[in-house]
Amino acid sequence: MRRLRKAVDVKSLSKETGNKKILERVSFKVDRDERVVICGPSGSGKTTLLRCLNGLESYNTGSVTVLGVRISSDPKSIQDIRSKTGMLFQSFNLFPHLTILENCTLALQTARRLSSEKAIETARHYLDRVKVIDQEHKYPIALSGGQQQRVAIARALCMEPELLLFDEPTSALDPEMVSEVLDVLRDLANSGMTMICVTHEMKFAKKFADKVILMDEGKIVIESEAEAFFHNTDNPRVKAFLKTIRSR
Amino acid sequence: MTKRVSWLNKRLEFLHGEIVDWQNITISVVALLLLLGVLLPLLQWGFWGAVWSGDVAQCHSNGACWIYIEKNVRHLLYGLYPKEASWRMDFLALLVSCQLLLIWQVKTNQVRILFALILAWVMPVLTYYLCYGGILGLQVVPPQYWGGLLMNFIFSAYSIATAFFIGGLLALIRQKNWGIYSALVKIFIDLMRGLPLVSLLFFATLVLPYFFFDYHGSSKIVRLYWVFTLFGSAYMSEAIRGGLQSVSQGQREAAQVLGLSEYQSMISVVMPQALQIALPSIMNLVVALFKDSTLLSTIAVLDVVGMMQATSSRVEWMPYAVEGYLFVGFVFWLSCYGLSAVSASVEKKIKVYR
Repeated sequence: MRRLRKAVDVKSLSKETGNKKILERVSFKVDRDERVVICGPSGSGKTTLLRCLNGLESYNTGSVTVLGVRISSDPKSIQDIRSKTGMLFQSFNLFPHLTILENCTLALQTARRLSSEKAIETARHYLDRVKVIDQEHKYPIALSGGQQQRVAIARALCMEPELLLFDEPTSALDPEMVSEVLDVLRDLANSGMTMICVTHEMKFAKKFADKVILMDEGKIVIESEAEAFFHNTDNPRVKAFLKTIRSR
Repeated sequence: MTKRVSWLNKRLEFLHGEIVDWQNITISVVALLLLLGVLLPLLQWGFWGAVWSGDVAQCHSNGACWIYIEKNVRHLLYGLYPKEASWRMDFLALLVSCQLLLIWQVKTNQVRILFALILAWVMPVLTYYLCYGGILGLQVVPPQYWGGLLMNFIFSAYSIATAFFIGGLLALIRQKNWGIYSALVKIFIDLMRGLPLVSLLFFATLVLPYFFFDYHGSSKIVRLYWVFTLFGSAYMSEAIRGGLQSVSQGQREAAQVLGLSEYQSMISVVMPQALQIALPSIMNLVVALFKDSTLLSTIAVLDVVGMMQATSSRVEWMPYAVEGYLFVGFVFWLSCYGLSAVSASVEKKIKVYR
């Protein structure tokens, strides 16, 4: 299989609702196996940007190309992107009426049409990897927030995605559970996977990211290598943002 | 004085430690006396003063005449269905009971839906031909002879099952914002919910025959069935729509990003949760519709109430209609109490993962 060098290519993406501009001519690229953190104050459009990448959100102008597929009016293009992309949510969004194992096998059996043995095998493999295999017959409500988010990670991994999108994966967690989720993410990062993460965890971003994108008021303020971002604090807006994050 | 009250308090600790003072005691005693004043004569009339066996001639005005039930039980159960053919009703009632039990008890939702589908769409047709007869050498029994409690049971079970599927479909269409279709569904639901059931049943009996030809003199019961079902499905769709609305957008998005199609996401993610949330209101509706099936008696269908009124209008039973009403009331109370118990047990099971 030919591997494209670019995982994500966004060109002058704009979105507005009413007369409020949510995204304004946003352009950026993400390479294969690159880990990108998108940060910025709340309301800066970072979550919207992330959701535009797999068609959960529509946009007005510009173009989005993910894993070689350009989003068009054809719903098949979005289906195509989603089949190669996984996404994690702030509120986990596990299916409460299914057990942990069923949460992971559902999409394998319905969307991928795998046999139930094959689906269970795959699900167990990834549940083991995120270390919640001992909870497989419980319902999500019986698990802690950290465990739930790890199950959500396993559920996404089951589909063997080439790109993972994270929408503030630790924001809804109690502080003591943040690290167990971040550990799994770091582990994933080391195994080589293209990941885009919207987060406020700057400490994590420092260890995790190859590239940092700072957004404000629907625009990209700065896009730079992680190393440079955290050490080059010449830019007053970066300085201001890092200061607000630190003071929390 | 106060000492005695505190002694009483100690004795009455099992009453959750309510403070017993003389005011409370007086009120309790008066209430108890009033209760006894009502309850004792009632028990006297219904139990030890009642006539339990023998002949109608032994009945008197000082006690209940329970032999009315004994002598008329066949009519109350089967209506005017001929004695030698009443095994068909027994058979159907048993079949429906088994299916309901299976729907309640099976483990997988797919099997549950399959049985509900059979109950809603296959059984009514089968029942119609079995009850009517004329096939396989069965004696023909025209629908005006059908009736009794078993008909209430079978009729409402089918009707509720059909209404469940139609209601679910209506809820989906209304939620979808499909322009004209959603608007039509909304008009239909508002119409059905705005009209009293009795008027709809009269409409089915008196007005609809001008539009439909009479299919061997029996279409009255079919018309009634559809009107009853459509009435039920309007309410059902609102109950299910409530459930659909309380499934969060995040659940749909999670299904979408996993690559489930809209149909797959509806079947395996949204609908199961919506139905779980809507279950209490659906069970509420089941109880209400089962009771509403007695309204068939207002348009000369000999259901259990119609049959009870018919039997108690015979000269020898005329003074004992109250017994008949009590009996019907008791049967319905018992069935509805059973349904509530079923509903409670299912809700408890759902709580495990909510």
